Amino acid sequence: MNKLAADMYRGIIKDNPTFVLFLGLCPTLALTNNLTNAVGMGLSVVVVLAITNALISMVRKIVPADIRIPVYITIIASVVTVMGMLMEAYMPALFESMGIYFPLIVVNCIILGRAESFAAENGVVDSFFDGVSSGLGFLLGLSVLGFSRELIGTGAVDMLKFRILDANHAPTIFVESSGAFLMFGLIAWMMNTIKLNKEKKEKEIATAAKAAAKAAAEAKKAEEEKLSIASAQPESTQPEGDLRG
Amino acid sequence: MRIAIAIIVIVGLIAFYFTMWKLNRKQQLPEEFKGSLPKCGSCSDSQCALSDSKGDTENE
Amino acid sequence: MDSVISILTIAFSAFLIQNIVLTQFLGLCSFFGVGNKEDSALGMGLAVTFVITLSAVATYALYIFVLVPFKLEFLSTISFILVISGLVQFVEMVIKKYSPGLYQSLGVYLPLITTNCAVLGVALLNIDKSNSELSLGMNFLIMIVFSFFTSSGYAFVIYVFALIREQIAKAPIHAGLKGVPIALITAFVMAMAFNGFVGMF
Repeated sequence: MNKLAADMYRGIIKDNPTFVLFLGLCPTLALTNNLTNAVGMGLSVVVVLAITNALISMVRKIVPADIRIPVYITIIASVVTVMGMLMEAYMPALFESMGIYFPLIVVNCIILGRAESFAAENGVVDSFFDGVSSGLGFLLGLSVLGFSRELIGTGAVDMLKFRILDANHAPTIFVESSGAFLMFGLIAWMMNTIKLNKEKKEKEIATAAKAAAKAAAEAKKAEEEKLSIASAQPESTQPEGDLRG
Repeated sequence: MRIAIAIIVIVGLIAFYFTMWKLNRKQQLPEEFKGSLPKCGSCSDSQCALSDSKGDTENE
Repeated sequence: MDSVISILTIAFSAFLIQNIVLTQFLGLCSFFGVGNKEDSALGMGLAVTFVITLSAVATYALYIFVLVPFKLEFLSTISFILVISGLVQFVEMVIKKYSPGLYQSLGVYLPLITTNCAVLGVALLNIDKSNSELSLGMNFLIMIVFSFFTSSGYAFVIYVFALIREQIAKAPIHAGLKGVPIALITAFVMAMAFNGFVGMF
């Protein structure tokens, strides 16, 4: 259970595919003009990634090492095709709004990356949960971007049904295509700064701790020396005190 | 009939891809070019493209 | 005359107005990954242009002559990715065998291209664009012009982007901006500039 939590933490926060690794940028920028699309895309990636990871982990012992990438691509493409047909049947509106970006999940770097670096070496259950955690990290990234772009660009979030600003006063650049780069750039800047500050603080704490330890060690050493001096030459210090007195 | 053709198309394309992959693996690069190969296999490699560029700009 | 103008419009629009990187967001992985050095950006741009044009012809022919007559359109994603991956391997092999010099400057980017969403994206866009009112030959011509100019647009933008980033690398900027964030903001400014072409036709 603890391992699962650690896995989830790694996939969602520490190695977040969107803000830390910058993978799968095409849908990240193209489908975040509103939260509905972003969540739809994120959830599709969670499902596809979990299934492909589990399938690839199942065949990992049968597939010879030198043809594994063709096999992975074939498996991923089949899963995406099946998912696309299901989506078209049961969620036609969402499928329509994703357009060509749904089939492009096939070439999403996250999926092949997880397949190669995790599913090819681990068991089926572990791979499944790894897929879920990386997918959730991607979903988180897309939701943050989609939420902020829609909120700032239109003044309202359609999916959560609230409005903070009149539509006429909202800066529409954020829902336009160029605004995607700006919003993502600003969020990435923020994340980077937070990370750098954290690292700096940790370093400071580490150096402070080191300095404190050093000072303590020196003080101890000095004391020991003093003691040894005191015990070694009690006579020589005695007269000094006498003189001063 | 339609299903049969679908299977033929897919199997044929998979066979095409696998043959090309195999042929490409077999075709060795002449010795003098060996040193200049890419450091990473594909975009899937997280150590690759973006991390590389990040390192570059940070070093400068 | 009309068709010549419409072809020119398609070419111009694919190259600048509907730029594949800046307005369609395709091929961004390699755009940010490779677009930090001038010569690697040029090599990547040329390799992508070549592969996109070649694979667009192959996938479109497969779609029109095999998938549509047998009503197998649902297989387009999987068959296209297989065709593209096979073609990339084939091109890599041919270049390795007959022109190792070219391989050194261009071929190193070929393994990166299979997972470049621009290639599959253009193949899929070509299908969306095909117009049943026009003749097959005209559709084919439009498809080739569109693919070639879309991919040239990619090469052009990645090259310009690399030139800008080489200058930015020397500039003193906030530490948190270094790396990807400044690249994204540079891309934002470029996208704004390219928006200026909207409405020329």
